[in-house]
Amino acid sequence: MGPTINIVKGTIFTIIYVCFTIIIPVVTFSLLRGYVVEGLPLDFTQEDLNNIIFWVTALGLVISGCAFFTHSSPKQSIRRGSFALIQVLVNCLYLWSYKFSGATEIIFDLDIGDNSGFLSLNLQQMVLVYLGIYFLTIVLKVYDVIDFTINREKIRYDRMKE
Amino acid sequence: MRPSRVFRWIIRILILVLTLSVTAVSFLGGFSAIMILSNPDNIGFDTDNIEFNFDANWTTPIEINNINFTLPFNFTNAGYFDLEDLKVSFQIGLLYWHVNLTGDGLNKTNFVKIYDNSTSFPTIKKGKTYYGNYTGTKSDFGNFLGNFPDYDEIDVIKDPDFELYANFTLSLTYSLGLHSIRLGIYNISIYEFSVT
Amino acid sequence: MGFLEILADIFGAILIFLKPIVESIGEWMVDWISASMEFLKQNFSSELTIYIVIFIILIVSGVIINIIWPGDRPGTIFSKGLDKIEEKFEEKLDIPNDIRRCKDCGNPIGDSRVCPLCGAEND
Repeated sequence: MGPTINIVKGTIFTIIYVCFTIIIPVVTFSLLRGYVVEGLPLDFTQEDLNNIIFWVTALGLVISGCAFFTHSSPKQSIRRGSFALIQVLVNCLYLWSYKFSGATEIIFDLDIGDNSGFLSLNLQQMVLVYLGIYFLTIVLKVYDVIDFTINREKIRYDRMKE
Repeated sequence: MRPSRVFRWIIRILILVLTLSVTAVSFLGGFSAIMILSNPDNIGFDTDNIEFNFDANWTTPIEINNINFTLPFNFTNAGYFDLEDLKVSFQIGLLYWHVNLTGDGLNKTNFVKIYDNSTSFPTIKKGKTYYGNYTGTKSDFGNFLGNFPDYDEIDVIKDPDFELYANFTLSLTYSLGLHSIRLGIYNISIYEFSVT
Repeated sequence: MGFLEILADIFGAILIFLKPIVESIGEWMVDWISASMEFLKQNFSSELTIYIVIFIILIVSGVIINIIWPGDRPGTIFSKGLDKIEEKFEEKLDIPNDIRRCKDCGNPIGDSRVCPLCGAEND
């Protein structure tokens, strides 16, 4: 593959990552901010929302940049492996930044006849399990970097033969 | 395919199986919560059959000889997983008309907390219903007994003299511990009585 | 209902089996992630500029590196030593040099007497 195709591939993936890690979450949280302003009983403060929007944008930018580097690199190259690893690590921080927003605890207000109440759903334990599984992805990326480094010559030769 | 890639595939399949399991359990847990909460009979605090005993000497200050209650309740686990760490917190507030001795002659309602306690219950297996009684004894009322008004503070012309309101908070873990749920219901009228 | 129950049992069993391991790893993950986030919060939480700069650096360096070294052919700068790699693998391929070739066109003919390409006779 030539440099142009590599760059086009990287650009496509960057756009996808910008959409999914920045635009969609920021729009969603901005809409939530609108609701808070209207006084609906959501368990978010203005500060929480500003905080989450900042970190989602900041870490989303780093993830998208890494995604460009990863997906524009040749298959099984050391630079692809290295940036895929960095991307996964930053993604951990990105996922965890939601926690600071209180997004792992969802609270619904209930209105039952003459009585009022609430239903709260805490997903922190689920996030722990997901992060535990995500660790395996990190292991996989580390393994890739080692594999690509050890078998560097063979991978290069096969790639050039294609 | 290089042999090192085969190992990679094994790990990838393991990740896929694990992610799929957590996602499926989460989804089924959420679906179970909907099934439990959509039927009001599944969580029932039988306030119509509450047994409330109150024995006091209406002197100034008030002397409480005995106070206890038994509240029957049932919980049906209509979901797919066992319901664990079930804990019911219960608060009772006493509402009465307070005699206004110093103001412009108008009496006003007063609300004091007289009970705040929580009790743990055993695991409820999927598909099973737990029938239990929530009991509060005099010792459970503890320091809150001091919150009872003295006889000369109560407007006994009103009927009933006292109304009891309760707040329930029910906490539990579900979906094999992945979800922690708390359900709170406020201001449920549970009992009313008069001095005379 | 029955099908979902079976699914819940199967996935539940997998999760119960692996949860103690996965959860403790998750706790360790939480520790380092929390520490990293705390560091970022204390040092880089004032403005987005630094993250925008990182993003631009990654994109620009990605473009430059791809132009220099696209991966499918030797790069313009870092091509030293590639000839050696190619030589090494060509040796490994073990292609015999004494293949019989057509005396007219040079096409490999193996044991055949007539060249399949040009029809010339080779004795």
